[in-house]
Amino acid sequence: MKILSLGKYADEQRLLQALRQKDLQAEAYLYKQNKAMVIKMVLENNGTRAEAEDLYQETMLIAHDKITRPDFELTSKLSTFIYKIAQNQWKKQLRHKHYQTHVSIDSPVEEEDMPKKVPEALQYQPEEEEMLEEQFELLQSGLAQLSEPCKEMLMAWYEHKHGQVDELIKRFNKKDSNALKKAVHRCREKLRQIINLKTQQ
Amino acid sequence: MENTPLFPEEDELLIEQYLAGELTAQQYKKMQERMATDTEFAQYVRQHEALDRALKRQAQLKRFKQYDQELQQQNSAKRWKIVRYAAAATVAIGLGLVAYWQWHQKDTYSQLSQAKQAAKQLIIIEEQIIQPESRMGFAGTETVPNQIPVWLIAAPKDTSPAYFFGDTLQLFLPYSIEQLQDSAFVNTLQLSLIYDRTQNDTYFLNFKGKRYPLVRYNETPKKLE
Repeated sequence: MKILSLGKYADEQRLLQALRQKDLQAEAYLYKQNKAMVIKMVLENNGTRAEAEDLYQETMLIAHDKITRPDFELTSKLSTFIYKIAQNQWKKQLRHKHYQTHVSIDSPVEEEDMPKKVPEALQYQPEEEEMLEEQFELLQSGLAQLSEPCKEMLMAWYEHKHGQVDELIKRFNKKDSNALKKAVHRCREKLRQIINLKTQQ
Repeated sequence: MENTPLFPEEDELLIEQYLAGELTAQQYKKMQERMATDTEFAQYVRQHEALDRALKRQAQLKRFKQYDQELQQQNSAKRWKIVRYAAAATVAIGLGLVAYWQWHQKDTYSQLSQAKQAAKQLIIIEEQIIQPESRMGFAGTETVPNQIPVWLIAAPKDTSPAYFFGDTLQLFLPYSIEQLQDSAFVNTLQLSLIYDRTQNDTYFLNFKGKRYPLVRYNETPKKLE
């Protein structure tokens, strides 16, 4: 997937709209456009390249989650919004790791430029990372026990569902999108039961 | 693992629509109310919600890795482009240097030619100018003795003596430069020049007792070497 020309998303509202419609090209565009800025910020503030890479992915997950919420209102440039998330995340990580270095992250943005909802939404919990790690491991072991057809359906749904529902309906031989959603639900339910069993053991 | 569904089909669809944010405001409110009262349903929905988030996260991270790879490819393509431009620039500079060097070489060859030509022997020979009588009222000719510097230049052995007028008259003789640089040898040639203005301004070279009308030398000096 190539970086799209600026023309298509020159208007940030259009980009936002595309992201809400789960347009993967828009997602790729947003990811590629802002990466260098965040990596630079981490590297200039006592971070390693690996930490910068991880932080950027985490930042984009949070940003994507916020942006696609129906009640999200963009009150700054998208890059500013992303930078601020990354900045907050990095400050919290530094604090958590007991870095003694003074963090003076020169933001290219002004405080009043930021959406008011962001700091509240970024309630960082130190144990959050460990929890996510645990969740990830649990999920992987659950998926490993899931039947192949179900695993295939869940992977397809989460990896490609955006804008390609018709393709999935055909691929999994379903009557319509509702039938497909029910099938996905049942597969996820099986996964839930496997994981519940594991956690009870 | 085929289990009986915990909730009816309608609920399965409702939960999926809830997770996808596709419920209307009214449906959403109703859902919240039900979750507030039905703990079993609420727990079921929350667990599906958590799984949905984890699966989404996993899929997104997978896509991010793909974007990173694409970025790397684009960056290396950019770097490769820069390398290609640099290589092209280097080639251009190289060609320029070669051209300059060749030009310089050409100059050197030219200088060498000149240097070799400089090895030609400059001598002063006698010249007789034959011209109409300058005195008023008398017909006839007069002979004016003169001395003229000439370059003696080695020419191929099968050529006849010839001349070329540069700044100084050049005489091409079928002898080696070593011979022409030998003044004793040159004396044996008995060289003298006649410039006959009464015969269409013709030069004649007296050469070993014979007179040769001089023809213009056409060969390039380079071929003489």
